[in-house]
Formats: sequence, C-alpha cells, structure tokens
Amino acid sequence: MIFNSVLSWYIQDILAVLTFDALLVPDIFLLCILYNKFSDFSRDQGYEILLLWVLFLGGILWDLRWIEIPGIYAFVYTGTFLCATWIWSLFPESGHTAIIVYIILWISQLPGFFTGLFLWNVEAEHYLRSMLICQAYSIPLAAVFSLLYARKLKLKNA
Amino acid sequence: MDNQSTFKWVHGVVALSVSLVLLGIAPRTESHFYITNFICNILYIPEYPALVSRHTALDFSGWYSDKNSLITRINGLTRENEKLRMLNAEIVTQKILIDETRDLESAKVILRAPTVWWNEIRINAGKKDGLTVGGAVFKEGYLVGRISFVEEDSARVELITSSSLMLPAVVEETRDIGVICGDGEGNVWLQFIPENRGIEREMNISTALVGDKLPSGLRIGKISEESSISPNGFHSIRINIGADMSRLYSVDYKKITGRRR
Repeated sequence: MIFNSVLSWYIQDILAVLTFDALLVPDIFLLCILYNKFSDFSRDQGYEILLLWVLFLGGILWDLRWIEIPGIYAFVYTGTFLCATWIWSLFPESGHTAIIVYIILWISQLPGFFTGLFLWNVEAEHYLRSMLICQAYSIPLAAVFSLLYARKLKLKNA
Repeated sequence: MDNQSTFKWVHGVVALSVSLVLLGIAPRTESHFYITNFICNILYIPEYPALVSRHTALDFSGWYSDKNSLITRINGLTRENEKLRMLNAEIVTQKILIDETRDLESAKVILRAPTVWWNEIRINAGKKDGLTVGGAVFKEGYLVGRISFVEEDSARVELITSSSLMLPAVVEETRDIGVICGDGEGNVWLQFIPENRGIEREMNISTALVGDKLPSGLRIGKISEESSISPNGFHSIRINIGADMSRLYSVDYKKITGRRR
C-alpha cells in the first residue's frame, strides 16, 4: 500500500513537472488512496487510519512542493477522504459496486480542482476550458480505478 | 458507530485540525520556506528525468518554431528579392530604352515587296547616315527589325515577322528567356519557354543578350493569349508586336557614330 501511494504521488508530481501546471494535474494520489480504502474488504479500521495519515502527509508534501503554504491540499485531501468514506459507509455491502466506486472517485476529483482554481486565480473565461480538461482526465481515471475494483471484487467473490 | 469507527473520525478531525493550524501558522512564519526549499531540493533528484524531458521537449518545440519562422522569413525575403530584381531589371530596361531611343533618326520605307512582305523592307538611309549591319530599327518605340544589308544611300531591314530572324527575348515580369521568331505570315512567336512559368497575357517582351548593336531591353511587344506546346514540351507563345507592322511608312534608327561604329 505504501509503495502504491508513494508511486502514485510520484506520478502526480512528475505530471505536474512535465506540464508545469499543478492545477490541471489529476489527483492520482487521492484516487489511489481511495481505491485502496474501497478495495480493502477486511474493513480494517487501523488500515483506514493509516491511509488517512498517508493521505495527510502526501497532501502536506504536495503543498510544500507546489503551493508553498502547507495545509491546503492536506486539508482538501483529508476532507475528501472522510466524506468519501462516510458516503461509502452509507451503502450496504451489497451496494459496494463498481458504479458507486466510479461515481465517488469521479466526484472526489472536484474539491482538488476547485481549490486549484481558487489558488491559481484562474480567470472566469478559462473556467469552462479548465473544467473540460479536468473532466477529460477524471472520467477515464475514475473508470480505470473502478474497473480495477470490479476485478478485485470478482476475484473476492470467486 | 463502534469504537473503531469513532477512533477513525477522531483521527480525521485531528488531521483536518492540524491542516488548518498549519494553514494558519505558515503565512506568519518564514520557517516553512526553508522546509519548502529542502523538499524541493530532495525532490529535484527523482524529478530530474521529467525536468530533462520537459526542457528537451521545449527546446525541440522552440527549435521547430524557430525553424518555421526562419523558413517563413526566407520565403518572404525570396519574394521580396524577386520583386526587387524585377524592379531593377525594369529600371535597367527603361534606362536602356531611354538611351537607345534618344536622338533617333527617321527613315522612310522606300520598298516593301509583296513577295517578302513580312520579311524585309528597304529604307532611304544608308552608310552615309551612320547605319551599320545589325543595328536596331524602331517604330513607335518598339523594335521592328534589324539592319541586314547596308548600301551608301539605302539599307535593307529584316523584320521581326521574318521566319529567318531569331532574337533572344525576355519576359520582363518573370525574367524567362526565349527566342522570338516570325512565321513569315505576320505573326511572331516566343519560343522555348518551359511550361508552368506563370507567363500571362499582357506581359512585356523585350530583347535580351543580343550584343552591342542590339542591346537588351528594347521593347518588342506583349504576350498574347494564344500559345501552343511543341513536342519537346516547350511553350510557343504568340506575341502582339508593339509596332503596327501593317503601316510601316517610316521607321526610326539610331545613328551609330564614333567609338560604337
């Protein structure tokens, strides 16, 4: 799990370096942590707490690397994680389908995106373009992770 | 909600609180800048391949756009150069024309035999008037022929409509060089012009590279629409002669004196 998290953070960072635009980089790190949470069928609360703090540290690191004000993305990531896990807990186990995972993962990209819009002072006329770019990566990424979840669920039920 | 779940939420609230505390403290202190620099320095190593890739891509795109802009600039300069060359050629032509048509003497046509109507005329000026073989003969500022034989008081002029007179000529607008030649029936053709040279109707034709007695730049006429393609792939384009060849009652010539003679 730690290795996957570090790798996903590194990929997100590399994408930001390549594009030099941290706003338009997908939150792969958050997606990976959420995927790890959803695909943990043991429901180990200790594991969930570990994911929470890993996410917090990753957020702090992201802030220090790209924002220079620690706490913003740590707050957004942690808050998104708590909201996502709360919504996830509302569904019974039979409702933990790939579609639900897809919707939660997709929506979980929005807080980070809107925070970026606020931090980078994006002008109003560029909102639509930025939104389209955000959707262009968040939809397929959420689909990929939900497919991985579906595969893991199938293996578990097999 | 069981104890484990409550414990998770406590951790969540603590993490959020720490984030908010950091967010509140950080702008008021400078210590986080040192931490930021430290983090950036550490991350520089794993980010190095991405940085190199990005700089390489930027350099390449810069090189490519520079190359494109250079090509565009070269094309623009080439067009400008062509225009200047044509302008220069036109100025030279005008200068030659002014020199050649200055102080022209007039001679009357004393014979135009029906059998050689489009080939030859005889004029009432000869050696004593300064005429020499090869000299140009004009009508209304346009070349109509060249002196082919000179006697004391008269001379024969071979007309440009003659099929035996071939003169190098240039299309002034495109600087394409060909040979003009008559067909003995009143028409003059510009021959040996390659295809697709952008030669259009009403372009000016003047002499080219003939020699001392018949310099380049003497006006002959304009391009007509009619053209034909020879079997070897070259164009033959009909020329509208500037002078009225059907009303040659008199012609002009330049008196050759002193050094040039």
